[in-house]
Amino acid sequence: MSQKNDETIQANSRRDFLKGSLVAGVAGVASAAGVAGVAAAATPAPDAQKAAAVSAKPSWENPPEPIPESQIKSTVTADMVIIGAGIAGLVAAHAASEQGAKVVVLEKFRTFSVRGKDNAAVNTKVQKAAGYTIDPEMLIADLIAYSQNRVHQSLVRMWAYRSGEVFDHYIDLCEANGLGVKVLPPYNVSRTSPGYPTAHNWVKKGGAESMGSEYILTEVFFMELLERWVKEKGAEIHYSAPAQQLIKDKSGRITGVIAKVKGGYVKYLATKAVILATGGYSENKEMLRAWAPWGEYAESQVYTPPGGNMGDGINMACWAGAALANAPFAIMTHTIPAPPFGNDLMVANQNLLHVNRLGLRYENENQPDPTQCCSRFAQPGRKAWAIVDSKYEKDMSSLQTSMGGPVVEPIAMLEESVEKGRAFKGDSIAALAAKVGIPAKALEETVARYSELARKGKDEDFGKEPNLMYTIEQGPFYAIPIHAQLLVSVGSMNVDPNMQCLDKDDNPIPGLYAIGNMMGNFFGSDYPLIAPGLSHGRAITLSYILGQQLAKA
Amino acid sequence: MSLRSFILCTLLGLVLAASAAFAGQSKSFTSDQPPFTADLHKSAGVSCVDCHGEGKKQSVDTDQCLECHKSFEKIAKKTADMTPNPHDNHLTKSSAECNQCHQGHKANENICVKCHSEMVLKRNK
Repeated sequence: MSQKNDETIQANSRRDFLKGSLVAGVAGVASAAGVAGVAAAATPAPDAQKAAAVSAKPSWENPPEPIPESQIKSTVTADMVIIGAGIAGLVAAHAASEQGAKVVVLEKFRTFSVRGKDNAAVNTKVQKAAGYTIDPEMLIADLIAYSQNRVHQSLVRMWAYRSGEVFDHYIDLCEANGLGVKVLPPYNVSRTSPGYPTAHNWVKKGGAESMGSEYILTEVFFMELLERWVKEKGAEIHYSAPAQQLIKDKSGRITGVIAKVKGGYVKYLATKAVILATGGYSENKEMLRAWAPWGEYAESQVYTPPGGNMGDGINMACWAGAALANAPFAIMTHTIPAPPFGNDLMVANQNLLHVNRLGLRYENENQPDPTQCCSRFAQPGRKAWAIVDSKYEKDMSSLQTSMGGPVVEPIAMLEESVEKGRAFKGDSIAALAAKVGIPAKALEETVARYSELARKGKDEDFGKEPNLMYTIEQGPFYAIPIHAQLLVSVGSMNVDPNMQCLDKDDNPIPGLYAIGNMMGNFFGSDYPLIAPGLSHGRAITLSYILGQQLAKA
Repeated sequence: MSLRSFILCTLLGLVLAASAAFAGQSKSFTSDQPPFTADLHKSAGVSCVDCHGEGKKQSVDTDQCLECHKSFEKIAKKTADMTPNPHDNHLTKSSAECNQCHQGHKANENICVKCHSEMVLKRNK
């Protein structure tokens, strides 16, 4: 795919100064590409500055001029056209083509998009073999509470009750093709913080099963097979074909989409449905600011492939009259230390003593990962540090979390981080406080109190489980900044319980569906790590069900 | 490919191969900074319009690069002696655009460090 062929990326990367009005001052999206190619983001073209002054409408409220019929060089007709070859799009394509439907998948990049490793499902054959039984109703209740009930409960239930059968289908297919499937123990289990063993990993013999797999994109293993199965079932995947605009007929039905290919445009007509599966918008600053502004507090974002999470499908859907769900939307922000601080400070990711800039403890640290960031954002300067002493490795060896133990680096690695200026070290608490730049007396008192509560076996201040409290008394002492990393956004479009997009009057738009991270009404305002892998788990389960249903309809 | 393009590409290939400094790029640049991509092309006899076209100031997209350089796989072979190979990874297989790293009239930029903060691209000795 060329950059010239992808106006949306160009346009969105320039949003900061364009204020969403790129197309207002120029002659539509096609010619906007020419303009977009002119200047680097820091030096907007005069035309663009003028355009910004004309309109401050966000991109999704600013439809481009329709692509003229004269520029369409060919037409392709299928039962279903799926936009986006991520996990949701390819699963929907697979399920539909298993039923004999003619499916075309459009993807702007040269290959499918994939990242991550966890895939949530309930009571699969792998879970049963590992001795895990999940009570779906308990999990559903927790998920609904976690999302403040800002969801379609029927979609959450559909995932909880049908993920087992959908995953079993894929587990069989994977195992027949030499790919293993493992289930991980739950994250962060304790009386006060629920956790369910929902995360399935696709594993190959070798490194993937070791702890180092944290950084291996194990999802790639699954996607490589999935792409093959999709093609074997007769579906076509058109890569380097960025979708541009949906096609709507006079009755209001979405009948297809126009995609840009080398040398022009192709019209893809869908007799049954167009399914949007272009993922989230976490790389699109204008959208992030509008729908999940705390995502901007994250020190860094990690997303691969870059440019894959620009909200292309959201723009297209809104231009065609689809409505957004009620903001704010959930994003995945993990308390993972990130560039420029490196990916090795996992100790800050655990439920150790957290202190703020005043040297004060402020929470029961035993919270699911994303919410640890949220509390840190509410602290002065949005800063916080995890404090440990020199026996943290031994202390935490008794802790049972995912991957067979807590994900913490050995002390030698922590020392290396200190040398690189990523973490702080002091022979005394006062010396440590001086290094961090927080009040020594307050930190001494906080640490003394925390150790006292740990010895007492009762957290009278914040109610943390006693088995998660360790004294902090053996120097040298370490402070590790708690950083947040923005991964993806996990919801946007207003869909009904059939995953069909709704218009502004909440009427279903015939022929238009949204799946995967484009689908709204599944998460509240945060991503629930109590059921790790739920973004992928929802994508696989619900996209499979939708693909199958639409094919049979 | 026209005969002219063929000659230009061959010349360019020779220049690139001769430019050991080119492959020594990392996120930090010092006095031994490699020549800019545009200068390398110019010294290989590639003219402005060969890449930029005849119109008003235009960026060079990946398709244009691949007119001569053919494919990422082919480019990856030329940098096979680097660790890691900057042209053989999950980005060059999916979304990478040449000008994300090679901005023509500016120094090359290693975008890997956006996520892999300590990744330095080195030529094997």
